[in-house]
Amino acid sequence: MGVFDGIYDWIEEAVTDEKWIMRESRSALSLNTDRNLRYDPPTCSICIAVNKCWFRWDKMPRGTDPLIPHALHPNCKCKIIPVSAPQKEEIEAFCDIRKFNEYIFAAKGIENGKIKLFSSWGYTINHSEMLKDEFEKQAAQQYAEGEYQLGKLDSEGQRINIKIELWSPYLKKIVYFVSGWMVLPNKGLSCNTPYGRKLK
Amino acid sequence: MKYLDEVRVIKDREEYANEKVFMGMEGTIMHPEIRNRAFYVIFSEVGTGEDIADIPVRIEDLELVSESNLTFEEVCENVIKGFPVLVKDGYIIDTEGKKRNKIPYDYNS
Repeated sequence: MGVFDGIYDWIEEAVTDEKWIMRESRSALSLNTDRNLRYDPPTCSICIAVNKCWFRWDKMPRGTDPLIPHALHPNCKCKIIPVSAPQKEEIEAFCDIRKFNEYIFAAKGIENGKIKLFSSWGYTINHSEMLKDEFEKQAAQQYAEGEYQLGKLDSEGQRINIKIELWSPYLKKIVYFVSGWMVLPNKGLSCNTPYGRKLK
Repeated sequence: MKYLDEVRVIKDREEYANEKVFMGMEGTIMHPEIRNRAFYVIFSEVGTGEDIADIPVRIEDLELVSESNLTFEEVCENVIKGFPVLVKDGYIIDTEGKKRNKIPYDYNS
């Protein structure tokens, strides 16, 4: 039996079982840093940005080498560690309330149309707290269930899109749209944009 | 420039063009932290409110359009101590109020 025999066995198992993985960046380990502590452009900034981030196996950031799909670039030394699927209670989804009261419902929202949308659904700046709570709850649930789409990956981190369902008191129906989130280390999520686009 | 300020792109770069972001486009700074000497900016379509792109834009490629109402203390909420969060008079300022570049407007110094 060779040294590397069986090294990909768990990966095949992961494919069939939709298991979860956590990325571990060697650059982050050697530099003793992570995305929250590094200010200067680091070596391998993308790998550091997704260090200790959790993904479902079939929805993780991938490189081009099919044999080492998690390698994001040539000579990538990152590892992926199998982890148990997260529960929604374990997900720390954070949506800054100011994304509502200082962005969506702020004066600048009038120009880009987001305030018009939310107003047409029956929401005002007074609903900011409620919307924040609802977005965090839905994001945690959807992410824990693996119901997300991978978005752009760069040194800022891995974006994911999450579907939000919101009851519209004006339209008397549920409206659906996509919100944008960043995957953070250790089962964290941070809302980038409450309203990214309508659901296609 | 700081979190939730509205900013304008003043220089074209290939990395921006690849994301359909061009000189003159306006967006909003959506993360309080400055990473790799860049702000994370979201650009939205006027009218529909749909997002066009969300990318890091270098500080030197941005100009302020309109300021958010946030105070320095409010910007620093939820940010790790010592992280750069603000650009003022050509200096990158961290949560402690310290300047992170030596020469004003030379953000790599």
